[in-house]
Parts: sequence; structure tokens; C-alpha cells
Amino acid sequence: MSALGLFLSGLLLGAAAASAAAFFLWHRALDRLGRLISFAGHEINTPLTAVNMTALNFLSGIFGDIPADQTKWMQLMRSQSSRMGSIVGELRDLIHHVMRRDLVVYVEPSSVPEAVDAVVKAVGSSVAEADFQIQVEVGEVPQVMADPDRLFRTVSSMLFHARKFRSRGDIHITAQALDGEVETVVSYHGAAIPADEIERSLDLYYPATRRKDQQLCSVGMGLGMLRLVARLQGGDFAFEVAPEGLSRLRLRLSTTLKPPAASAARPA
Amino acid sequence: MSIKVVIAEDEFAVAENLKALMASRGYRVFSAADGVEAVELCRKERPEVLLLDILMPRMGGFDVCRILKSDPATKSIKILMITALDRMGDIETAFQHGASDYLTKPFDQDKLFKKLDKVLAS
Repeated sequence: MSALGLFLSGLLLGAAAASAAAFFLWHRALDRLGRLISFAGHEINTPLTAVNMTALNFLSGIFGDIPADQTKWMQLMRSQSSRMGSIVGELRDLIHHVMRRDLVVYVEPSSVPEAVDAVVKAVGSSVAEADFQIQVEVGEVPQVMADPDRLFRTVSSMLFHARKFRSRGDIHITAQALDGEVETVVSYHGAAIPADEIERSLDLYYPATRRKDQQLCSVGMGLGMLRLVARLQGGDFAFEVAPEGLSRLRLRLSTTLKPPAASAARPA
Repeated sequence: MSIKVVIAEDEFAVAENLKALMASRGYRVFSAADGVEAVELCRKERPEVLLLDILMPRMGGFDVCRILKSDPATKSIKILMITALDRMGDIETAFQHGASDYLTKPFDQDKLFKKLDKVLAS
């Protein structure tokens, strides 16, 4: 091989080695940053638990009676701390999915009616004095394979989304069994949104990449996060808007264990 | 006869709320602020169930779990891990060390008592 050939080969090898080293260092830095942010989320959850439990203990009379005119504020504290817990949970899921690539969701038989009831109890007070109501029509449906915390979080985010983007009428929550799945739907009347924006709003990075002319902003980490988590539980999530603005958020979860979800049962 | 519970949680605000809540439901509640104290309290009081935080001073929850489960006098105590760590590895580790179940922060009353009922029935 000529001197020029050797020189070029050496140059190529050097560039490849430098690229590999840069990639390794970048990946390590990203992983470390992901761990740090996840740890911060974990730390936030402890005071959140304390604030939420304090509000609940006051509301249930464990810490004595509170004046009637202060109950509303305690309920608001509960509602907001619950919402914050959901956002922290979504943020941690995002970090583990994107930066650490180790997000696996444990699922167990979970009740959709119980989750809906818990969400309405937790966040319903924040709409108590609004000009609309939350109409719940959830009959008997089979249990779904889901992580109960994430199920609560998803229904809570769906409700907050509806509250933010509704333009008139009540918000409706329904659930029905459909061929091995349970579909939970939160519907409301909002703006008529173009089809391409609806599709884009389900993108994981939509809250960060939304164009100024697009009407939807995001609640929490956005609808893309809800779809990701639904799919990690073996289900799916969709968003539909009819031409006149009737909007439906659809969460479908399986009644049987489906990949990529993992069983939350204690290992034998 | 009321059910005896030890709460091992180093965060005062969480521990106090848990104590008040569980006492209001008729549980006999004892609390420990770190892992070493939790082991001592469990050996002394022999509770039916231990609510155990994972990250605690002096001794972590996994070690507490391992020690209690390896001691014939305390191995029958049901352990409900309370943690903000909700990743798969942590859950598996909790089970490997002998926990009956786990509860992730943030949690509320309904979630707590549902898990407690499940653990006590197991």
C-alpha cells in the first residue's frame, strides 16, 4: 500500500475510533443525566405523598374538623397534588423510556371503574364551581391488565385535557367492554382541529415541537405520553375530533396480559 | 383484636400522616425512623405487617427485609414495601428479599388499604 493509502486508512480508523468514543461518552452522559432526573422525580414523590395525605387526613376528619369554608381549599390542594404526582410520574416514564431505555410496565388485574371513580374524587373538586359537570357512565366491565397507578394517571390526564380544551357542554366519561378489551372514552366539545394536527398531537415530542399555528397545546407531558404508556401495557390510545368539534380520547386496555407489558405478580 | 403494624419511614411528614390514618382505622401503630430501629421494633412487637420504606438512614429497606425474613422469629411478618422507586429492577429486588407486595409513592388512603388488605389476606 502506498504512503497515501496508509495515511488515508489511518485517518479513517482514527475517525471511526473517535466517533465510537464520542458516542460512548455521550451515551454515558445521557444515562447519568437520566438517572439524576429520575432520582429527582423520586425525591419529589415523598413530599407529594405527605402533602396529599395531609389534605386527605384533614378532609376525612382525622386531624379534627375543619371549617366548611376551608374544605374547598383543602380539596383543591388534594386535586393539585394529585395532578402534580401524575406529571412527575409521566416525566419519570419519559426519562426512562428515552434516556435510559429501561421502561417496562408491570401490569396486574385492574379495575377501570375504580380508577375513574378515584380520578373523579381526586380531581373533581377542581371543576366543582365550573359551568360544566363530569358525567360518568361506567357500567360493569371486566378487569384490565394495567398498572393501577398509570391507569389512574392516564384517566386523570384525559380528564385534565378535556377540561382544558372543552369549549362548551359537559365532559363525559364512559367505559365499555369490547372484544377482549375495555375502552375508556373521555369526550367533550372542543375546537374543530385539522386531521394532521390531531395526528401530530399524539407524537411523543409534540409539546416541544408544536407549531404556533396549531391550536392544541398540551396537558402534562401530552397525549403522546399517554399513547406510549398505553402501548407499553399492551393497549392503545387514540384521539379523534369530529368536524363539529366533538372530541374523544380513547384508551383501550386488554383484559389479558399482552406484550410488552410484564406481569406484576410476585415471581414464583 | 386490632392489627399490629410497624411503619418504617424516615420522612416525618409521611410517617405522622400514616400513623394518624392507620390509628383512625383501628390499627395498633408503631413507628421507626430508620432501618435499624425497624428491625429492633419488629423483633420486640412482632407485628402482623411492616410498612417499609426502601431508602432509609442507617439501614435500607432491602436489608431490613432480608434480616427479618432470615430470622425464624420474624419471618412471618408480612412486608409491604413503600417506595418512590417504581422501576422493574426495584420491584424484583423487593420480592427477592421477601416483600409480600409494594406500594409506590405518591399514594393515597384507598391505594394503601387496598394493598394492606391484599397483603394481610395472602
